[in-house]
Amino acid sequence: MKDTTTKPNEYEAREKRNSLNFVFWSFAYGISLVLSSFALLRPPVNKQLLGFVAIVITVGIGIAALMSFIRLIKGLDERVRKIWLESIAMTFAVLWITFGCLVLLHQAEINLIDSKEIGLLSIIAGLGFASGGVRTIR
Amino acid sequence: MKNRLKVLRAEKKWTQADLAAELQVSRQTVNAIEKGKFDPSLPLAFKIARLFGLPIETIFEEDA
Repeated sequence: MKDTTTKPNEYEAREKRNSLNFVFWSFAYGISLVLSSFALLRPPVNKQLLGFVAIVITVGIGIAALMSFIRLIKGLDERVRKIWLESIAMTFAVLWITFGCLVLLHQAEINLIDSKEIGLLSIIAGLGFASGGVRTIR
Repeated sequence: MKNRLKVLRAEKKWTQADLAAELQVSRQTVNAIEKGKFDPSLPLAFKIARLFGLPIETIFEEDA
């Protein structure tokens, strides 16, 4: 017979809640960026005013996403937190190197930096985080 | 670092999920500690020792 009854793992429930919260705010941030970009392409009102409103909303949602990420990281157990922090460091390094290359290509007029390439950087960041996420479940 | 966590857990007839719930960590972390893939911090090692009612050095052993 077991020495104890199985008790619910509050840690796992909290991690799941914090992860969902982070996914929600990240998604909201992405949506706000896309909607702001579309609105600024064909502004129904003054473009500068719309740009200001878009920045306020996007930054607000971005801060909420950042806070939810900090809450997620702080709530993780030490092994998972270590993996995530290593993943963040690796992602940052890859972004730094990629951005450096883009700047050099831009200065050499081989490839001029445009918004699509900046978007590519966020995809690289997403892949870096995803690779970290895979390691946590092994 | 080697440890006797798997043996101690088996003596109590606990699953990895049971031990994870007792320690408030993920089941994967318990698995990683048992397999020696991850060395716990001192606070977590003390928590494990307290849970099994044993001195820390009887659970964890430095690699030769």
